[in-house]
Amino acid sequence: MSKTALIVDDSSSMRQMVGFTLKGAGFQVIEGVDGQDALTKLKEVPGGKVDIIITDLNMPIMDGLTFIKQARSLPACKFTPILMLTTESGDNRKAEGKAAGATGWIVKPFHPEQMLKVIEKVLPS
Amino acid sequence: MLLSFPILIASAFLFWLITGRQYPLPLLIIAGSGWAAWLQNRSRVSVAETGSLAQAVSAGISQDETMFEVSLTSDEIHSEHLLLLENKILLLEEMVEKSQKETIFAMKEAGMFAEELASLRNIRDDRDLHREAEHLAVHEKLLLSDRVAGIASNLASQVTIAMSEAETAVNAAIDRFYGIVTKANEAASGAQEAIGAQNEMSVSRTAALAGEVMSRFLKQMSITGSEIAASAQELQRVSTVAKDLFSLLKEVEDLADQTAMLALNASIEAARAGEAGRGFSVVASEVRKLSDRSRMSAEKMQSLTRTLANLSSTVCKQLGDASVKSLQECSQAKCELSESLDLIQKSDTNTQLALTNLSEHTACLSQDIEQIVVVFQYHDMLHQRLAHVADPLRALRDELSDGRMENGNLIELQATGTDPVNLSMMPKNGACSVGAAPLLTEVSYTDQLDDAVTLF
Repeated sequence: MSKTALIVDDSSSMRQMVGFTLKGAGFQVIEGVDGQDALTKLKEVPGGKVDIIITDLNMPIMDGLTFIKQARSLPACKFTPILMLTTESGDNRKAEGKAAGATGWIVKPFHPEQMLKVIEKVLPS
Repeated sequence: MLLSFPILIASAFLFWLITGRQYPLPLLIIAGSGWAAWLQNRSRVSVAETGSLAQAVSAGISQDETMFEVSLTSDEIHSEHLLLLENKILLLEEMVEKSQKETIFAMKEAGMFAEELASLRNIRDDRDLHREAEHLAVHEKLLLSDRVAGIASNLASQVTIAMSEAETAVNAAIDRFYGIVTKANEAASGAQEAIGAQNEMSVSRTAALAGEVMSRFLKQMSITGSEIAASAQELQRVSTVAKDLFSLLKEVEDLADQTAMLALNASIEAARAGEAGRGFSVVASEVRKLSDRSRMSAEKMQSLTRTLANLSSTVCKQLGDASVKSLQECSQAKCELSESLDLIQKSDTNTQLALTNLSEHTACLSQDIEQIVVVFQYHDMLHQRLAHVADPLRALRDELSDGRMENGNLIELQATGTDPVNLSMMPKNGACSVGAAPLLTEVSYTDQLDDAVTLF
């Protein structure tokens, strides 16, 4: 059975790029346009659980950090690997991400192979 | 005349100061100007008078001195006169000095008055100007704020349009790109399958197998050909046997002839014996009949044997021809087969080469896809940066229009903080390793992994 990934980004081209990379690696992809939308999508998934979440930081309506905090409060997403994918690379922001419950931080632009390696690393085998 | 101007001026000035009305002002200015002109004229006259007086004095002095020198030698009575003269000179000099001082004072006064007048005029002008300037400033501020708001609004809408256009363009590009990638992947997987099939049972091996089967078949064919030739030889012997049969049949014919002759003789002898030989003559005729029948049989056999011999020789000839032909065709087929096998071998090598190239290109393509995925992300980053520009512009426009509504104050433009654009993140141009169009350099992920990825 193929694994499911939730991609959260307000930029449709970014979602397409990440989706393209993950579909190529055999993932099923769900997309969210902001944190709020992603939470709704997450609740629609059977069992409320996806295998991995990749989210942007700066988004309208609900940003990445708030989304991670809210997702972590859901029992099904307590241990789901969550990767931040953002242009920001400041240590303070990373610390905020870590505090919110992110598993890892990838600075844009990402390289597909690199992203897949990271996903392989964080996914429970 | 001397006092009339100051009095006029002072009264007008007082009136203006007390009432604050402006209509005596032109009068004041005219009177002031007149007085200043009179004063200036007077001082010019006094300067001229003083000049001529001084000239006269210096002429008198020089005359007196000459006279003094002449009289000094002869007459000392003039000494008293000289003293008087000296006093007169001193007096004159004092007068000149006083007159000069007066002139200077008058000129100063005139200047001061002119200045005062000018400042009075300035006060009036300043008041008007100040009011006008205030009015203008407010107007200008409003205009400026309108213009800035207009520019900001225009810029914001332009940026928004540019952003949405860029978004549409990039999405279309991505869609096309997906199409290309899908097709490329299909081609690549097709090629991979072909390569797999090639590995399982290569064309050359198939060709070799076909060649083997064919040569076995040809060998069998040539064997058959030889066997046919052998059969032909056997048939040749059949015709020889037929010839022997012929001579044998000749002998049978001779025997029949002789038997017929014997029967004739016997019948003659029986006739000579007369009545006693009647029975024998019957036997003799029967023997003759037998000899006839044996001759007929021999003749029939002869014709049959001839037919047989003819047939056998025809068949033998045909078999011989067939065997020769079959052997020739076999050898020709062998030649053609080996040529075909060579061709197959060659085409197989070409196919292998093409497949190797294809797999290399596929590998290169997947690298290019990686890089394109990276490049497309720059659009997103650009989009974000444009949003950083558009949002403050929109805010500025709103702020300006709000400000205009409230009091028309000019809003100070504040630089809105945006992230500095980090161009060093852009990959440098390079060339792909396998003969493709130059694109982006390969990125060593192990190097980048440390910088770009943080795992908590």
